[in-house]
Amino acid sequence: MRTWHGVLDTLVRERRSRLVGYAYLLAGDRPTAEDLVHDAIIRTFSRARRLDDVNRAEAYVRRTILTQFLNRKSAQATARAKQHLLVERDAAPADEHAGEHDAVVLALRELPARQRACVVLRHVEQLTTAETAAQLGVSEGAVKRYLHDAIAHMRETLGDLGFADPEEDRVTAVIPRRGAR
Amino acid sequence: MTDKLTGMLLDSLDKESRRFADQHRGDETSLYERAIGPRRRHRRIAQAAGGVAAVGVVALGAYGFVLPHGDDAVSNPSSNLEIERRARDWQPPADLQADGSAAGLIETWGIAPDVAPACATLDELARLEGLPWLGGEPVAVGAVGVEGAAVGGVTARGFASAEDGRAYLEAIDRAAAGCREQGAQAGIEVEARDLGIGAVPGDGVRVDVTGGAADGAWVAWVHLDGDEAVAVVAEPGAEDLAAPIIAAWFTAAAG
Repeated sequence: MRTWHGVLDTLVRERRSRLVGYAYLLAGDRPTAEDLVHDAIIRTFSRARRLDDVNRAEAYVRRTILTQFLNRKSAQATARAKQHLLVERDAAPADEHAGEHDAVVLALRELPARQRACVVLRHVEQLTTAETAAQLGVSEGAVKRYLHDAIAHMRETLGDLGFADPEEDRVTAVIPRRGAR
Repeated sequence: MTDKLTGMLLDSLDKESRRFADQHRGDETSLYERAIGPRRRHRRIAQAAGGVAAVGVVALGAYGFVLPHGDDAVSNPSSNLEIERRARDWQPPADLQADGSAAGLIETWGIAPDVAPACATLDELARLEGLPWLGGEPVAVGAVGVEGAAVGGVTARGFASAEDGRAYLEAIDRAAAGCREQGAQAGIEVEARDLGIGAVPGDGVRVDVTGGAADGAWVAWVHLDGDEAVAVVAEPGAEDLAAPIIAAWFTAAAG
């Protein structure tokens, strides 16, 4: 079996459901989350030159999910175009499941996309402000503003969040696609 | 460090993951393979074409020729018009000197092009001046940074197609690899990485050159989204604004 096939198989079997969970927090609904993941996997494996490590492949897919989520127009168009290539989904449209979502997801859904992304990157991915800024292509000040506004809104909805700033001493400016050579 | 919000989010993530896993127990890898296989084949063909072009560039560099920019260039007028518009409308993250530019690799280290022809090639590719047959022409946008201090030079170019753009990135990879070998004699170290920027679609290549008497790294970062590329060349000592510059450029493009 050629390398990318093996990595793809491992990723689909072992990592895809977690990726859907990650995308679900960003997107706030299941069909969009699944579309984001399907599309990100196809994009990653279609483009990457070296895919011999499932951890790296997963990191690429995560980054693509985020990019596509923030670039929703493109993501939605791509997902529609590729839907026929993928699994038949029996999931109903998002609103049909609205009552099943956790309160925290419903609160997230009320946030603008970048605020939502900041919350997920900081509190799920545990990125620093600098790393979050690099991922989003915005300044650290903008990240702080997004987070401040997002947390304030979520506190109104969810009450005390026990929020504490994650450490901010790690710095990553960019997202490696391939190791340094 | 965790907090209540993190716990709530991870709990929802876990629940959604389990729900999805329960509904997708079959072997679905083959479905992805059917979608991915043809795309990879198409990409390999494009890369092979780009590789041939890159070999030609290195050969030209070895004989000290300058890459041609003139009549042989494949024009891409619609993209160039679009780039001109964006060059007018974008909001750089620091002061823009419209007639400014950054020092090149060869100039920074005083390397003779015949000693390290791949570095000379890399220098040109970093300014989007190489491989004219891939379409478009480099548009010098200016230099971003404080006047009188080290700056980052910005150039944009619209290639004939997205495949041509990707072939160009491949050529940068190859030139960087050649420069790493040849530049060792001149005491420089060259590191090339494929990088992306989270909120910016597309792919990029960043090359860091360090060593010698230079105080800091000379950086070339070329980012490609579709058929459009923007390149930032930062002199040693310049504030590292490459990622914000690229994000600002393509944000203007999206708007």
